Amino acid sequence: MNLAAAPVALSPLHSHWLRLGAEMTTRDGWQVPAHFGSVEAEIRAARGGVAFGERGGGQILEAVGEGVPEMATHLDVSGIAPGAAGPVPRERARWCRLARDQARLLHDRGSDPARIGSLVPDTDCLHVTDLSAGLTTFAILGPRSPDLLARLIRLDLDPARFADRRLAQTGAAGVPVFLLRWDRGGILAYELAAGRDVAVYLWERLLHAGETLDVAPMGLDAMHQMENENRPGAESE
Amino acid sequence: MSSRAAQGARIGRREARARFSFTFDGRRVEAEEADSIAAALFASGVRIFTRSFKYHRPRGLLCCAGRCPNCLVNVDGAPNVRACVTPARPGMQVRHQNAWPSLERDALSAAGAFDRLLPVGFYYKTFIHPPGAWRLAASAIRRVAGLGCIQRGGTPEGYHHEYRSTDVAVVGGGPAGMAAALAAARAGRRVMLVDEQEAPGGMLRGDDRTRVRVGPHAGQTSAEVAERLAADLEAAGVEVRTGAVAFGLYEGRLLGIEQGPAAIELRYDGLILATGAFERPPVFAGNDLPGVMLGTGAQRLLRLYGVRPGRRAVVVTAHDGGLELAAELAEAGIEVAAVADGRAAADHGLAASGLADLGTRVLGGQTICRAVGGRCLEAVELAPGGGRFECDLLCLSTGWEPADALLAQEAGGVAGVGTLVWDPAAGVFRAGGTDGRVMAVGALTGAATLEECLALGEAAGLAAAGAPGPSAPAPPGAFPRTPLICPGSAAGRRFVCLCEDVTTKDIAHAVEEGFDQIELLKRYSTASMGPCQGKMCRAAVAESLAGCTGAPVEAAVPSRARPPGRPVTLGALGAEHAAPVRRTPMHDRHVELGARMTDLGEWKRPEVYSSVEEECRAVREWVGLIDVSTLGKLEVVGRDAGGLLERVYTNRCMDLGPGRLRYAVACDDAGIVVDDGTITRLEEERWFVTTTTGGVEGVEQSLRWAAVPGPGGTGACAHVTNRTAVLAAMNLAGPRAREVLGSLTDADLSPTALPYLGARQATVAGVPALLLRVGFVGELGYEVHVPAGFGAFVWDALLEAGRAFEIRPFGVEAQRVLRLEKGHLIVGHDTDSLSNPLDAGMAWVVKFEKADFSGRAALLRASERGGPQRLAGFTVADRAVIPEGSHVVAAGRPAGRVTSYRRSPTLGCGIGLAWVPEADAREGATVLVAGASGLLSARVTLRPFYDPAGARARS
Repeated sequence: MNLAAAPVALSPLHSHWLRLGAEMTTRDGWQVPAHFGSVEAEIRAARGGVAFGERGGGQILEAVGEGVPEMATHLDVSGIAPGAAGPVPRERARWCRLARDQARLLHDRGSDPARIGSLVPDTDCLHVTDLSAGLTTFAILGPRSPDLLARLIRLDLDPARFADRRLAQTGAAGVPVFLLRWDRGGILAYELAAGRDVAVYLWERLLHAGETLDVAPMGLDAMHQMENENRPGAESE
Repeated sequence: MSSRAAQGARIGRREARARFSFTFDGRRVEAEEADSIAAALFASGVRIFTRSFKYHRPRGLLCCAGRCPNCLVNVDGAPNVRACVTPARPGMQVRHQNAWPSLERDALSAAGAFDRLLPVGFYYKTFIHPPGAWRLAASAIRRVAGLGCIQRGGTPEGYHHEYRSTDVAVVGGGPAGMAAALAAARAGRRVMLVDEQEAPGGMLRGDDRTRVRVGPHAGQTSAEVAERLAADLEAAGVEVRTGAVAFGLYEGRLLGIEQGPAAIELRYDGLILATGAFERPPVFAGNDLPGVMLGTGAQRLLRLYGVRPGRRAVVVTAHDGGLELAAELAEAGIEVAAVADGRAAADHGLAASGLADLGTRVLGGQTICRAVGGRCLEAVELAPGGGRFECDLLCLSTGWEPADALLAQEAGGVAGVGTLVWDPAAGVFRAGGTDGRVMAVGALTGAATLEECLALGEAAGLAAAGAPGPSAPAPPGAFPRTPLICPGSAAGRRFVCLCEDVTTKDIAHAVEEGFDQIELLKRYSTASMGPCQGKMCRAAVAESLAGCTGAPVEAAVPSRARPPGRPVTLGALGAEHAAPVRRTPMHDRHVELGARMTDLGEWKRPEVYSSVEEECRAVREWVGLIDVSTLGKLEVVGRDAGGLLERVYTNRCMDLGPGRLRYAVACDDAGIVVDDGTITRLEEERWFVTTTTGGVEGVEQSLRWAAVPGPGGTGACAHVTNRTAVLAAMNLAGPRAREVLGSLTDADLSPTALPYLGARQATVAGVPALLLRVGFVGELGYEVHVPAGFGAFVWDALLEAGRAFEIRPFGVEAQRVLRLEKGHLIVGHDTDSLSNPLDAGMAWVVKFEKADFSGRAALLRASERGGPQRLAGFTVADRAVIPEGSHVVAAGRPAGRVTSYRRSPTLGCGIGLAWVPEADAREGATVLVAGASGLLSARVTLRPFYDPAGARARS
């Protein structure tokens, strides 16, 4: 290898993407699947049933401690209750309130890393840890995504009960996961984050669970296109 | 005459039904759309569907409702499929089971000739002598008995679990269930209705003869009511699950359901059981012959599939429903030879049924005595009087029993307590009421008419929804009471339990032997323990027992049933398959390098790449690289973080300066070693802790627990983050390690800048990294921690940079050998649930001068008392073979055990760790070890085998 080459981060599913014939691209220092042949076909699959893929890139910061409420005030998201999520005003970031003293800040792709520091107030007993490298996030989109998730997760995922922008820390197929519902372009959409070490296992379980649901893999291009379609409040993110 | 009838509810639609074919034992069978497998087979002339469990007697359709064991077949490799409720599909391959060589001529039916040798419970008494006889007998019995063979090889696809929630769950899609679901849904509740048939409606489906007399459906036929209710359910948004069997009630308001390949775990707030009732088959000589059928079974064939159940029939009944059945058969073109009505006045319903107009003989005060035939029914004999009628169909419509399989899981085992009560009028146990959480409605409670079922269902649905409504009318308990054990002493076996081939004679023998209580009898005779789980035979067993003992039938109280109440496929049960597999960031690299992978806990790890000896040699002489990403990694931050660590670990850490690390041991309150690892002080209030691969969750929990404030206390400002998956880790070890790492970093790696047990942040191959100087394998070594996404990149870079230094990746087996040469123990391998650090030779990590730490008090007592054994090293001759776990022997008795043993390629001898008697735990002592080839003399050592001064690791 060329030791002078710039470091490239790989997803735990990298070899799976290659086997599936993904067109890979580098974004924010990560090798990610752009698409699996046709962006349009992936979007059609998502609109008609269920499609899923990996949300590569981005940054996941976990904040814990008594200073979390102050951080919420600092970010102007103190109205978001535990168990819910919402956009951070003036940032391409989302605030996920897990508990009174625990939250996650999901910084979307393209965020300026230097700016992230300014999001954390200088507060006593507030600890922020970057978990980005340790978590793999699957995006699951489509009207049948609750059916797919219901095969892995013991939660009441009825869309009327587990509403848009609700979140839960739960288990899927025996591994701990973080589940967030964040609809995209009027379509049911979920994000399922699990430890990187179990990402391949969880991917295989998702595929197995979706055998009879005609699930289709989805690349980042299709995801972003759907995210930007009819995106309410996009300017505020 | 064709078996396909010319009339019946479904007949009008037959012209539009598509035709297709499937195979049965390789023979092509024509079917029509919406046929069940059994209906198609019956229409094609098949009468024998299976052979019985013990005597291999021919068995044919009986209930046609999925309750009895008489139609179990193998479908596309899946055994024990109920042919009567499984839809036929084009191309499916159906095979018989439990017969050889064919269903028609089963050589194994010879077992019936030896029934005197096979009385109930024979396997408890025979084949006891000579020793070993039972093993041979069991093997033979298992070959000829049993129910089908499980599919071997490959994993059947499609099986999965589903986790669902609903406000109101309704089990049973008959009129009561549909009315309940509809009422609850219209009251605004989420409702799921579960029914095992292919469509809701229960016995209403296909019934064009019965008209509703009163209520909102007055004037409609039963079939029309069913269709109307089904449409209403859909309009009300009720989730209807058909072909779904509710098999178990579990704690936490959980209902187990099997639907095709799915096992569904349904959480509910309220549950309504509307599982209906089924006809009780009476017991008489020859009652298992093909051609003997429940009246409702015959009706299902006729109504749902347009298939005539026979040509010439005799109907045995004790209520007006039997007369109506006879009329329905006659209208379908079946000659009804006679109707035997157990009632003295048999003309109650004659006018209503129209039977009198058809010229059918109705014999009052008569019942069945005996069914006659070879492989199938040929005639029946009635009693009293012995009238004989030639026929190929005997329809039994003598009484009903609530389908309480689920309710019995909820109810207590004592009548009157819980929800099952004895109904003396009907002679059955039935649902006795509601407890507000689980409600029973419809025929399950004894309701007999459609109007009653609809009213009960609606009231229950509203109650479950918490909506106001009329109180439920009390069910009338309208089931007719008829004896199940028919009179007469005719020759021939009278089967009480069809599943297990248990006869009235078997029951009598068991009672004579003292098994005269229902629970004992069940276990001894296995009656009611077959596929139907007592649904078809529980009442008959109880009545048969009562006949033998003279006790009342109601004394045989149904026991609290345990789920599953119905057989469930192993595929569906096992589909969850939650066996997580964890992979390191460099997993693909190991596979590409040809490593033999091994499972360590949930982790996949490379065991060896080339050969253990070569890998060990590389580390000792040049440099090696091992993936240690599986190490637990915790970040502990906050002003109280150091104090928290001091409370959990036995040794000190607050005296560490930033950039320094220390080996550490954690114990439980009993002083038992639970984990070990390193503690690194990264900054004043920021610590990095590594744990064993399997111990990270435990240590994390201990730290979090220790951080919880005590009563009235304020929480410690210390937070624990598990970073195991965040960081890839690799250990670069060997005399040339510094040179390899130095070529990829600008950091000063000199012994003064980064000494042994030092730590620093640096950049390796352009990637931010944490470097720890450790010496687990006893050489100059660096643990390199980098963000997981860059793990493969840095791994590649280190191997590339090390090429000039003969670098080799090494696996966990080489690491085991290398660490053993250093005498380093592995927690959980060399220690167990009785091992404390003092006895394990690690007293130096226990700092009693600390005010408190987990296990301090226990360790203090242990230090005063001393232990009976100590962990020590030993050496033996070069090629000795000593399995781990072998005994250390003293005075001819086990006195310890070997925990680790390997041949050391470096030292050229066998080395190991063992728990030895305290008296032998001294340098140079000799102990005996039970090796693979006998007792071996081993020399004890308390020092590392390799580089005891540790100079190489410190270099």
